Amino acid sequence: MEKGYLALVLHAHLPFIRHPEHAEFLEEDWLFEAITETYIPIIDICDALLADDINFRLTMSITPPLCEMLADPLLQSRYKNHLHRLIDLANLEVHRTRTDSRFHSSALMYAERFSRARYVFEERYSGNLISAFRKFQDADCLEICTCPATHAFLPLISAPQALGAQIRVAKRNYIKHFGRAPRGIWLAECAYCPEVDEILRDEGIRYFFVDSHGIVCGTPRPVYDVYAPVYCPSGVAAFARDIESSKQVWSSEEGYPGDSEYREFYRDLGYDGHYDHVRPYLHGDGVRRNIGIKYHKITGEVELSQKDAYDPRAAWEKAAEHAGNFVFNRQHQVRWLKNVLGREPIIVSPYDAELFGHWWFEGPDFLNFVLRKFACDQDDVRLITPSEYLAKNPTHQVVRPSFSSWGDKGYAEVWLNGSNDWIYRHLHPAENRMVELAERFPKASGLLRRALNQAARELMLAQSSDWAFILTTGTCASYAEKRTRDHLARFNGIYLQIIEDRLEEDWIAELEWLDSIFQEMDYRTYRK
Amino acid sequence: MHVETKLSEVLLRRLRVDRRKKKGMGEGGQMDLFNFNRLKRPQLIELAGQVNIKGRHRLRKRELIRRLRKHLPALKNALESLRQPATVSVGTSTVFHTAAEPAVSPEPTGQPQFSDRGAPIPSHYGQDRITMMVRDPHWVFCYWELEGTAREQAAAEHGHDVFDGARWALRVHSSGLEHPHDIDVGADMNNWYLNVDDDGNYFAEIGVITRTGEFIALARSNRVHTPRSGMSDVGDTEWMTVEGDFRSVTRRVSGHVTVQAGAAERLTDRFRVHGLDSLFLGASRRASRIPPK
Repeated sequence: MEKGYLALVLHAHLPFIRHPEHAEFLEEDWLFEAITETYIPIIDICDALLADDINFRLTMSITPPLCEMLADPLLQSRYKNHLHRLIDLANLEVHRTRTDSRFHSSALMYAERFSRARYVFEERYSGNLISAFRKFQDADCLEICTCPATHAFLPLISAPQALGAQIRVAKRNYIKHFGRAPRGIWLAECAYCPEVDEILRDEGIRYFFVDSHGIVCGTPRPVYDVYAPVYCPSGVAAFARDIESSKQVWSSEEGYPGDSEYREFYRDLGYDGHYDHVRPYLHGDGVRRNIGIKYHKITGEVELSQKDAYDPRAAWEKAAEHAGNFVFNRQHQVRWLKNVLGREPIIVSPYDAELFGHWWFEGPDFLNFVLRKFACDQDDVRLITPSEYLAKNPTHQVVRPSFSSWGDKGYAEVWLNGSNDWIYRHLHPAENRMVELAERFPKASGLLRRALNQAARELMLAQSSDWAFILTTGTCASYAEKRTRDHLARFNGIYLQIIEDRLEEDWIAELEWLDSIFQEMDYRTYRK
Repeated sequence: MHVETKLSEVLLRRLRVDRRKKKGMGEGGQMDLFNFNRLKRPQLIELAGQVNIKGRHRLRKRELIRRLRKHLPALKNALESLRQPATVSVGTSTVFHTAAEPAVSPEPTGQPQFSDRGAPIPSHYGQDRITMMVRDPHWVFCYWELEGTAREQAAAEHGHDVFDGARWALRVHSSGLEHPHDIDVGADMNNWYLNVDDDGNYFAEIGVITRTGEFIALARSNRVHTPRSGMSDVGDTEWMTVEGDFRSVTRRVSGHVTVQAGAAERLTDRFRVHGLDSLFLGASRRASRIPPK
């Protein structure tokens, strides 16, 4: 008989990046890397678990922009080409390292992995990875949550209709991809403010997630800390992150991913390889960048140039060891909590999906071991999804959560500081303008309707919290700035054309082609 | 993609870069004479699309400029002010060449020659408004625009010399303060960070304090509430049962729950809210402390 529950939650998100106007575009690589290193490995793991008849439960949020990209034929085709080139390069590497015992096993590993990825992508799923996730959900092993339409940071939205639109468009998009209504939502960055749960209630969404202090600092004090969900006064449940299990995985100092046997992210063939050898596999500009073939391990606190050679076998065994440790700790935690609380706790452990495989190369192996060990090696902890848990335990304390997020410092600072605060004086008027347009044209048709729908798309794309995040971290700030400005300029351009009654069909068509997210968009979601 | 503890390193680096590039990013500069030559071809194509210049993708930059000049009145709103950055350098990871010339040296260094920072957006929207945004328990961000008729109306009501010798002020109202708190802001300022109490209610007005000490408000903000930075003192519990899809929702008040003595303290001992000393005041010269309750 279990003593408690664990909800493993993977949040899979990438901003909508699709540039049909260029033959190739650097930032589309983010999607390709995540597919190769995270999504396909997770799908492969789930398929193997099903084939081995192992009972598991996983919760994933797959955001609308990510769903749209995974389902997009152009991006699927570009990914296919990208993967084929990667396979070519991996095969060249196998040949190049055949006499170098330090690196040959890694080269073989990459060749096998990429070719496996091709098999899963092209043959098993015909390029449609959404169908894989849908299959696992329909088999009741995976619960898929939705997320605000373009991953907007909801507390920083000014117009209530615009906040609601992020939820409503997300719900509709989810139904399109998964054939049923979403039961839960992953708020972007876990950013919650009191206006949110009423809207979730209106859309029939039963639960969301917050960071720990969202519930711990809620009103009144939660009796069970973060180890039971709470109901907002609206009846929507909030599940809070458990810090202990998070830290073991997230922390770059204390967490598993920093172990010296694991692969070093910052030594990549794109930088280390002989230029003429790697040049055909870089982008058109020939600038050295990450390719995804890495031969070194973390080794310890040493200079990049002193990193030792990666040993795939040793890393894999380390992942197994860490998985055993993780499972053991959760058993221990659950037994202690049950004793203290007098009831079975639920431990909620959310992570960015891209941590597993992209940032932490061995993450998917770790996950595989964890899921198998929970199923086969112990009885204290039962894996569960939030919906299942609420079905078994429908009675909870009423607590109004606090405004909070899981961003650095716990609130909105990452999205509102000197590097990005200027965007809101433009986003807020755009939100108000969109509501104004929707109110003014309750029954638009033809070109006007297309323009209104496109205006809504531009506004939503401008609202992506990714741009503000990137402006803070500075990794490719000019791209984030460009996206913000382009979408705002397009939105305002459409707005002016509409109110000045001079709609240009060619231009609207061009924007529909450039910014093609949410084909099902209906601007009337912005009406009061 | 979110890597929690590496973020602080990256943020520190970002702050140093930001301080160098601070110029021109905050207030939105005005340009008296519009100079198309400073735009890149993709931006010109974007503008040309707004006035439906046919075949714009095939036109050279010079021809685009020539044709756009004829449409200046229609483009007025889009061109109110172009925010040209102080520098044009970008990080090493992004390049936006549309017609890439092979680099002369065999290995490009990754420093691109130009960057596309996106299409121009208006510097203002012809409105009088001030907006407050809660950032965390102790900081509220405030921005405003006074491009509507409020200034004319104030002049009409109070005399055309009302702005002579007047000080621009941000007046912050708080439910915890008996009197509002005034902050001197420059006439060219349009945003401010306020250091406030947690669990507080605030709104603000932007206006002028005349020579005679009278405050004339030109716009009033929304009301905001800062979250509490610690745990609630309220211990009363209320319980709810929700059966499938909100079909049945029943509440019962103050159920008794037996939790081991000291458990709550033990649990919350492990929880600490981070100190909120911030590197990101948005330019410390534009931040003020509101007196505590």
